[in-house]
Amino acid sequence: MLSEDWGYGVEAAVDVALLGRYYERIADHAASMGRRIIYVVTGQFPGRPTLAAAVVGCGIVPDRGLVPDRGRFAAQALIETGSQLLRWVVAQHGRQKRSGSNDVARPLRLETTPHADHSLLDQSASRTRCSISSGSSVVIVLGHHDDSPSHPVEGLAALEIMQPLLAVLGMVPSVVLDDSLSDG
Amino acid sequence: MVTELERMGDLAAHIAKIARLRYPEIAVPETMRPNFVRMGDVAEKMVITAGQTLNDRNIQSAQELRDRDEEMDELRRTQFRSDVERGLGVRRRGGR
Repeated sequence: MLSEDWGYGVEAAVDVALLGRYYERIADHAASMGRRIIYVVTGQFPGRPTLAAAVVGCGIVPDRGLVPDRGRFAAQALIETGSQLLRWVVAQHGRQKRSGSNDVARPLRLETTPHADHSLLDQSASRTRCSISSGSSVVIVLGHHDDSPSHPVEGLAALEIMQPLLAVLGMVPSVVLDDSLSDG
Repeated sequence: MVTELERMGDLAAHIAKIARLRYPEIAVPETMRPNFVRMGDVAEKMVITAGQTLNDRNIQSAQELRDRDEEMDELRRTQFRSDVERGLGVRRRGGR
Protein backbone atom coordinates (compact mmCIF):
# COMPACT_ATOMS: atom_id res chain seq x y z
CA MET A 1 0.00 0.00 0.00
CA LEU A 2 2.94 2.29 0.69
CA SER A 3 4.84 1.28 -2.37
CA GLU A 4 4.96 1.84 -6.08
CA ASP A 5 4.02 -1.72 -6.93
CA TRP A 6 0.71 -1.18 -5.14
CA GLY A 7 -0.73 -0.42 -8.55
CA TYR A 8 -4.27 0.42 -7.51
CA GLY A 9 -3.85 4.15 -7.03
CA VAL A 10 -3.92 6.46 -4.07
CA GLU A 11 -7.69 6.39 -3.75
CA ALA A 12 -7.82 2.66 -3.34
CA ALA A 13 -5.00 2.78 -0.81
CA VAL A 14 -6.87 5.32 1.30
CA ASP A 15 -10.11 3.39 0.94
CA VAL A 16 -8.53 0.17 2.07
CA ALA A 17 -6.87 1.84 5.04
CA LEU A 18 -10.12 3.47 6.14
CA LEU A 19 -12.28 0.41 5.56
CA GLY A 20 -9.98 -1.79 7.56
CA ARG A 21 -10.03 0.71 10.38
CA TYR A 22 -13.83 1.04 10.31
CA TYR A 23 -14.45 -2.68 10.45
CA GLU A 24 -12.01 -3.05 13.27
CA ARG A 25 -13.71 -0.27 15.25
CA ILE A 26 -17.14 -1.83 14.75
CA ALA A 27 -15.81 -5.05 16.18
CA ASP A 28 -14.25 -3.20 19.12
CA HIS A 29 -17.53 -1.50 19.95
CA ALA A 30 -19.44 -4.77 19.74
CA ALA A 31 -16.92 -6.45 22.03
CA SER A 32 -17.18 -3.54 24.45
CA MET A 33 -20.94 -3.98 24.50
CA GLY A 34 -20.39 -7.60 25.38
CA ARG A 35 -18.28 -6.57 28.37
CA ARG A 36 -20.86 -4.04 29.48
CA ILE A 37 -23.64 -6.59 29.26
CA ILE A 38 -21.63 -8.98 31.38
CA TYR A 39 -21.30 -6.19 33.92
CA VAL A 40 -25.04 -5.47 33.88
CA VAL A 41 -25.88 -9.12 34.42
CA THR A 42 -23.16 -10.13 36.86
CA GLY A 43 -22.02 -6.92 38.52
CA GLN A 44 -18.48 -7.76 37.50
CA PHE A 45 -16.29 -6.56 34.66
CA PRO A 46 -14.72 -9.52 32.86
CA GLY A 47 -11.01 -9.80 33.46
CA ARG A 48 -11.20 -7.41 36.37
CA PRO A 49 -12.33 -9.33 39.45
CA THR A 50 -13.54 -7.05 42.18
CA LEU A 51 -13.27 -7.56 45.87
CA ALA A 52 -17.06 -7.51 45.96
CA ALA A 53 -17.30 -10.41 43.56
CA ALA A 54 -14.58 -12.25 45.39
CA VAL A 55 -16.21 -11.91 48.78
CA VAL A 56 -19.56 -13.04 47.46
CA GLY A 57 -17.90 -15.84 45.53
CA CYS A 58 -16.31 -17.07 48.69
CA GLY A 59 -19.72 -17.74 50.07
CA ILE A 60 -18.98 -15.85 53.21
CA VAL A 61 -22.15 -14.49 54.72
CA PRO A 62 -22.03 -12.39 57.88
CA ASP A 63 -23.04 -14.38 60.95
CA ARG A 64 -23.23 -17.61 58.97
CA GLY A 65 -19.63 -18.19 58.07
CA LEU A 66 -18.69 -20.18 55.02
CA VAL A 67 -21.40 -21.54 52.83
CA PRO A 68 -19.81 -24.62 51.25
CA ASP A 69 -21.77 -24.78 48.02
CA ARG A 70 -20.65 -21.30 47.11
CA GLY A 71 -17.02 -22.20 47.49
CA ARG A 72 -16.31 -23.01 43.87
CA PHE A 73 -15.56 -19.44 43.00
CA ALA A 74 -13.50 -18.81 46.06
CA ALA A 75 -10.09 -20.02 44.98
CA GLN A 76 -10.13 -18.06 41.77
CA ALA A 77 -11.29 -14.93 43.53
CA LEU A 78 -8.67 -15.25 46.21
CA ILE A 79 -5.85 -15.63 43.76
CA GLU A 80 -6.85 -12.75 41.58
CA THR A 81 -7.54 -10.25 44.28
CA GLY A 82 -4.50 -11.15 46.25
CA SER A 83 -3.51 -10.43 49.76
CA GLN A 84 -6.44 -8.36 50.91
CA LEU A 85 -9.02 -11.03 50.48
CA LEU A 86 -6.90 -13.77 51.96
CA ARG A 87 -6.54 -11.67 55.05
CA TRP A 88 -10.24 -11.10 55.13
CA VAL A 89 -11.03 -14.78 54.90
CA VAL A 90 -8.72 -15.60 57.70
CA ALA A 91 -10.22 -12.84 59.78
CA GLN A 92 -13.71 -14.17 59.26
CA HIS A 93 -12.57 -17.64 60.01
CA GLY A 94 -11.01 -16.51 63.20
CA ARG A 95 -14.17 -14.82 64.28
CA GLN A 96 -16.20 -17.94 63.71
CA LYS A 97 -13.75 -19.95 65.72
CA ARG A 98 -14.03 -17.58 68.59
CA SER A 99 -17.80 -17.87 68.58
CA GLY A 100 -17.36 -21.61 69.03
CA SER A 101 -18.84 -23.12 65.89
CA ASN A 102 -16.27 -25.78 65.05
CA ASP A 103 -17.67 -26.80 61.71
CA VAL A 104 -16.63 -23.57 60.05
CA ALA A 105 -13.37 -23.17 61.92
CA ARG A 106 -11.52 -25.87 60.03
CA PRO A 107 -8.60 -24.84 57.85
CA LEU A 108 -9.37 -24.02 54.28
CA ARG A 109 -7.73 -25.98 51.57
CA LEU A 110 -7.70 -24.22 48.25
CA GLU A 111 -6.68 -25.68 44.95
CA THR A 112 -5.51 -23.14 42.49
CA THR A 113 -5.65 -23.43 38.75
CA PRO A 114 -2.34 -24.43 37.13
CA HIS A 115 -1.88 -21.10 35.38
CA ALA A 116 -2.68 -19.02 38.42
CA ASP A 117 -0.29 -16.33 39.45
CA HIS A 118 1.28 -17.44 42.68
CA SER A 119 3.12 -14.24 43.47
CA LEU A 120 0.08 -12.67 45.11
CA LEU A 121 -0.47 -15.76 47.19
CA ASP A 122 3.16 -15.84 48.22
CA GLN A 123 2.85 -12.23 49.25
CA SER A 124 -0.27 -12.96 51.21
CA ALA A 125 1.23 -15.95 52.87
CA SER A 126 3.90 -13.88 54.49
CA ARG A 127 1.33 -11.62 56.06
CA THR A 128 -1.31 -14.07 57.15
CA ARG A 129 -1.53 -17.48 58.75
CA CYS A 130 -1.35 -19.06 55.39
CA SER A 131 1.11 -21.50 53.92
CA ILE A 132 1.53 -22.80 50.42
CA SER A 133 2.05 -26.51 50.12
CA SER A 134 3.64 -28.41 47.28
CA GLY A 135 2.03 -28.49 43.88
CA SER A 136 -0.77 -26.08 43.31
CA SER A 137 -2.70 -26.33 46.53
CA VAL A 138 -2.83 -23.74 49.24
CA VAL A 139 -3.50 -24.32 52.87
CA ILE A 140 -4.69 -21.59 55.15
CA VAL A 141 -3.88 -22.61 58.64
CA LEU A 142 -5.78 -20.76 61.26
CA GLY A 143 -3.77 -19.30 64.02
CA HIS A 144 -4.97 -18.44 67.43
CA HIS A 145 -7.79 -15.91 67.28
CA ASP A 146 -5.40 -13.31 68.64
CA ASP A 147 -3.53 -13.66 65.38
CA SER A 148 -6.37 -12.30 63.31
CA PRO A 149 -5.16 -9.74 60.80
CA SER A 150 -5.10 -6.26 62.14
CA HIS A 151 -6.66 -4.68 59.06
CA PRO A 152 -9.59 -6.72 57.84
CA VAL A 153 -10.89 -5.58 54.49
CA GLU A 154 -14.20 -3.83 54.73
CA GLY A 155 -15.94 -5.35 51.77
CA LEU A 156 -19.20 -6.32 53.34
CA ALA A 157 -21.33 -3.69 51.65
CA ALA A 158 -20.90 -5.62 48.46
CA LEU A 159 -22.92 -8.49 49.82
CA GLU A 160 -26.05 -6.48 49.21
CA ILE A 161 -25.68 -7.13 45.49
CA MET A 162 -25.23 -10.85 45.97
CA GLN A 163 -28.14 -11.90 43.79
CA PRO A 164 -26.87 -10.48 40.48
CA LEU A 165 -23.44 -11.86 41.19
CA LEU A 166 -24.65 -15.43 41.37
CA ALA A 167 -24.25 -15.62 37.62
CA VAL A 168 -20.53 -15.25 38.10
CA LEU A 169 -20.39 -18.68 39.68
CA GLY A 170 -21.26 -20.32 36.39
CA MET A 171 -18.39 -18.58 34.61
CA VAL A 172 -15.46 -19.92 36.56
CA PRO A 173 -14.52 -23.47 35.72
CA SER A 174 -12.49 -26.10 37.50
CA VAL A 175 -11.72 -24.40 40.77
CA VAL A 176 -12.36 -26.41 43.89
CA LEU A 177 -12.60 -25.26 47.45
CA ASP A 178 -12.55 -27.99 49.97
CA ASP A 179 -12.99 -26.96 53.56
CA SER A 180 -12.34 -30.39 55.00
CA LEU A 181 -9.04 -32.07 55.65
CA SER A 182 -10.29 -35.58 54.94
CA ASP A 183 -8.15 -36.18 51.88
CA GLY A 184 -4.97 -34.93 53.55
CA MET B 1 -23.94 1.15 25.33
CA VAL B 2 -26.11 3.60 23.41
CA THR B 3 -23.03 5.52 22.31
CA GLU B 4 -21.50 2.28 21.17
CA LEU B 5 -24.54 1.39 19.09
CA GLU B 6 -24.45 4.87 17.63
CA ARG B 7 -20.77 4.62 16.72
CA MET B 8 -21.28 1.24 15.09
CA GLY B 9 -24.03 2.80 12.99
CA ASP B 10 -21.79 5.74 12.04
CA LEU B 11 -18.96 3.43 11.05
CA ALA B 12 -21.27 1.30 8.94
CA ALA B 13 -22.42 4.51 7.22
CA HIS B 14 -18.79 5.48 6.55
CA ILE B 15 -18.22 2.11 4.93
CA ALA B 16 -21.34 2.48 2.82
CA LYS B 17 -20.22 5.96 1.79
CA ILE B 18 -16.90 4.65 0.46
CA ALA B 19 -18.71 1.93 -1.44
CA ARG B 20 -21.08 4.46 -2.99
CA LEU B 21 -18.25 6.86 -3.85
CA ARG B 22 -16.48 4.21 -5.94
CA TYR B 23 -19.54 2.79 -7.62
CA PRO B 24 -19.62 1.18 -10.16
CA GLU B 25 -16.02 0.29 -9.33
CA ILE B 26 -15.28 -1.69 -6.18
CA ALA B 27 -13.24 0.13 -3.55
CA VAL B 28 -11.22 -2.87 -2.43
CA PRO B 29 -8.63 -4.28 -4.89
CA GLU B 30 -9.33 -7.82 -5.93
CA THR B 31 -6.39 -9.40 -4.13
CA MET B 32 -7.56 -8.04 -0.80
CA ARG B 33 -11.21 -8.82 -1.27
CA PRO B 34 -11.40 -12.17 0.54
CA ASN B 35 -9.91 -10.57 3.62
CA PHE B 36 -12.41 -7.72 3.56
CA VAL B 37 -15.35 -10.00 2.87
CA ARG B 38 -14.39 -11.91 5.98
CA MET B 39 -14.02 -8.70 7.99
CA GLY B 40 -17.45 -7.52 6.90
CA ASP B 41 -18.88 -10.91 7.75
CA VAL B 42 -17.37 -10.90 11.23
CA ALA B 43 -18.46 -7.31 11.89
CA GLU B 44 -22.02 -8.03 10.82
CA LYS B 45 -22.27 -11.10 13.02
CA MET B 46 -20.80 -9.21 15.96
CA VAL B 47 -23.35 -6.40 15.69
CA ILE B 48 -26.17 -8.92 15.51
CA THR B 49 -24.77 -10.84 18.47
CA ALA B 50 -24.36 -7.63 20.48
CA GLY B 51 -28.01 -6.72 19.88
CA GLN B 52 -29.26 -10.16 20.76
CA THR B 53 -27.08 -10.30 23.84
CA LEU B 54 -28.45 -7.00 25.03
CA ASN B 55 -31.93 -8.35 24.56
CA ASP B 56 -31.59 -11.75 26.23
CA ARG B 57 -28.73 -10.96 28.67
CA ASN B 58 -26.88 -14.06 27.65
CA ILE B 59 -23.43 -14.08 29.22
CA GLN B 60 -22.28 -16.88 26.95
CA SER B 61 -22.83 -14.90 23.79
CA ALA B 62 -21.36 -11.80 25.42
CA GLN B 63 -18.15 -13.76 25.85
CA GLU B 64 -18.30 -14.96 22.26
CA LEU B 65 -18.01 -11.32 21.23
CA ARG B 66 -14.54 -11.18 22.69
CA ASP B 67 -13.42 -14.20 20.66
CA ARG B 68 -14.81 -12.69 17.49
CA ASP B 69 -13.06 -9.42 18.23
CA GLU B 70 -9.80 -11.32 18.38
CA GLU B 71 -10.57 -12.84 15.00
CA MET B 72 -11.14 -9.34 13.64
CA ASP B 73 -7.86 -8.08 15.07
CA GLU B 74 -6.11 -11.00 13.42
CA LEU B 75 -7.68 -10.20 10.06
CA ARG B 76 -6.58 -6.61 10.44
CA ARG B 77 -3.05 -7.69 11.32
CA THR B 78 -2.93 -9.90 8.26
CA GLN B 79 -4.01 -7.04 6.04
CA PHE B 80 -1.63 -4.54 7.59
CA ARG B 81 1.30 -6.93 7.40
CA SER B 82 0.85 -7.49 3.67
CA ASP B 83 0.63 -3.72 3.13
CA VAL B 84 3.81 -3.00 5.03
CA GLU B 85 5.71 -5.82 3.37
CA ARG B 86 4.90 -4.40 -0.02
CA GLY B 87 6.08 -0.97 1.13
CA LEU B 88 9.38 -2.26 2.44
CA GLY B 89 9.97 -4.16 -0.79
CA VAL B 90 10.04 -0.94 -2.79
CA ARG B 91 12.23 0.92 -0.36
CA ARG B 92 14.88 -1.81 -0.63
CA ARG B 93 14.84 -1.62 -4.41
CA GLY B 94 14.97 2.18 -4.37
CA GLY B 95 18.11 2.10 -2.25
CA ARG B 96 20.15 0.31 -4.86
